[in-house]
Amino acid sequence: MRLSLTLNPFSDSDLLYAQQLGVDWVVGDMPAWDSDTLAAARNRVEQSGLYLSALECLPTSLVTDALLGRAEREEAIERISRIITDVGRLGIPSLGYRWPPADAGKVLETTTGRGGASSAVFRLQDNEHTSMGPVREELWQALAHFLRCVVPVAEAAGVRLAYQTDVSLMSLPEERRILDSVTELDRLFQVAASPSHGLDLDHGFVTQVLDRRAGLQTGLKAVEVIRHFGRQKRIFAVRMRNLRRTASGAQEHFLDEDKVAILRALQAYQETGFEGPLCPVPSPGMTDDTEWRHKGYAFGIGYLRALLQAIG
Amino acid sequence: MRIALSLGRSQREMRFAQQLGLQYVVSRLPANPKGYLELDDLRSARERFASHGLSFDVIENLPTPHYHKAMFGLAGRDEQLAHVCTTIRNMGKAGISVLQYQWMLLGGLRTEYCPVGRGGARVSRFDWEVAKRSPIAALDWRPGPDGLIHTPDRKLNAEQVWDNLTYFLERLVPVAEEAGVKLAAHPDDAPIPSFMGVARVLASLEGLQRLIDTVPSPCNGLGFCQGTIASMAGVDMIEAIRHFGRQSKIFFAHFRNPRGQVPVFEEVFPDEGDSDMLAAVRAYREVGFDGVIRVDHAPAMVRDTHGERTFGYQVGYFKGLVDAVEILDAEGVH
Repeated sequence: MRLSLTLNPFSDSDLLYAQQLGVDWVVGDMPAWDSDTLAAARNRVEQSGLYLSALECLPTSLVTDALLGRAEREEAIERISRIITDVGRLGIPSLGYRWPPADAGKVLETTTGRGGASSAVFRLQDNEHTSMGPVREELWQALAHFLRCVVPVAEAAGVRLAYQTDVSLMSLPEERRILDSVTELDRLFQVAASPSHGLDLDHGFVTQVLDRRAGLQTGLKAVEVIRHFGRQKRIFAVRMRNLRRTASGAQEHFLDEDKVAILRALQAYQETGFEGPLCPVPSPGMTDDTEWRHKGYAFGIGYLRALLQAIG
Repeated sequence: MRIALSLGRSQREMRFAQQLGLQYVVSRLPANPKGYLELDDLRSARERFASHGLSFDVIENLPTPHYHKAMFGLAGRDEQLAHVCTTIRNMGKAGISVLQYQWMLLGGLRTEYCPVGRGGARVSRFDWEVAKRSPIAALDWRPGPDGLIHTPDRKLNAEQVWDNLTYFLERLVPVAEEAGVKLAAHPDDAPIPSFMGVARVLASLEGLQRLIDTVPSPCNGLGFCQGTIASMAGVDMIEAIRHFGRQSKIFFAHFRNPRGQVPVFEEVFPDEGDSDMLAAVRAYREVGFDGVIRVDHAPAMVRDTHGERTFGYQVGYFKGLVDAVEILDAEGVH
């Protein structure tokens, strides 16, 4: 795995910052998705001597239309297919899509973390499904249709398409929620069983959602989840953050606050042969940091680099 | 190992350290016109840090105007040393247990600060040839406020410098023992044997050992500046940790990893210097070092007005090494 930073590829100072932190892989957080912007982003990163290893977060409005739209559906799928083809033509190996959109409802409250850092608590509804239900079934059918259209495009373009897990999913009520368990994610790969389709894993999602006994501080169960998807070569990218279960949700903590669990997780990612970008999530938010959280990234990159060095 | 940052007492600095999860700080107090650090000032500094969950146990450094006459062997040194004894006693009363001092008569030496580091980060460099050509330009910081010191015509050879240092130690070490304060000598940075005709006697491992042996005492030891020691010509810094650590002479340490050694070195990020910092952490553990170790200066980063990016990175890296070594070694992985 390669230490990476998620940044806007048009920010010269952040590209410089990545190099100063010793990071040579960048994950692009794109301001726009037309082919000129994509090409300019790739060139900008390359000229800095860095490698644009992935793009994250296809426009969620487009993904939503592709899944839920009526009249707009085929047009949205067509536009996404064009983006995938452009991304492949530019030699960017991986592209993430997220659904549902991360919305304001996901954060229950913001509380104080270590030293008064600003720590979000995410809403976590119970993730036990008792039945499929009509809404979920309909969602699955829409998703299956979408994937059957775009995954072959990704294969042809040489792009790895990554479903981006995110705890914000868990703010949805159970009857309108899919992709919230290992079983559900397994189904994702049954629907579109291609080596070009995988996961961009939010490690907080692994510990708090995929681990049904979440809240354990040992990290052992999370390790099994990592092995499960890692062995199938489904892990394309990892966003490393530390969430802990509270009475009502999951709260952000610094990586070193659960050092054993984080180290075990990294060992598991490594053992399964994960070779993609490993991005720290700069949370909780430190006081007097920038909006992009430069300080938080510096600490996260430093900490993860040391752990990777130690596990060899 | 107690990871620390060197901090002032602003709200911003202390909060930064807390959010990084630090529990220890080192700090300096300004030179006091009375010639010694006053008990009230020491206590209030300690309390101010304590109110933010930070333990202030190391003074870095003894203000040079408090002992510059002793360094140069000038008239008035006895009065200065009597005041330093007062500082030491006050530290003991305030519960601050380590006093770092340095014996660089002309101060620290660097020849360049230039954006040649990773990603254009601004690194400090030392090049002995440049320092010989333009010595005044290489004076990086100066030890005293008055014109008395570092006049280039004052030459002192090594034995003269040793005489002054021995005089200093013989008077202070017994007081330090009584007060329960450890005196930690910082090596001469840059570590060259002489500059502008003034000897730098703590610029080699032999010099540091001689300091220890001159006045044997559990209160006479080192401020083990990794960076300075690693930049001594031919020195293996990790072996040096073992050598002095086994004697329990590392009272305090600096975490830094330069690239190169005298005659030319530069201060790069800690993961890209010549030493293996993971091995360094293991060496400290091996010798049972449980003192304060402070994250040292590293290259200056883009738009880093408060230095929090470069220090945040370093604290993350250092913590990660210490955490990983603790966890992996506990299960016997080496």
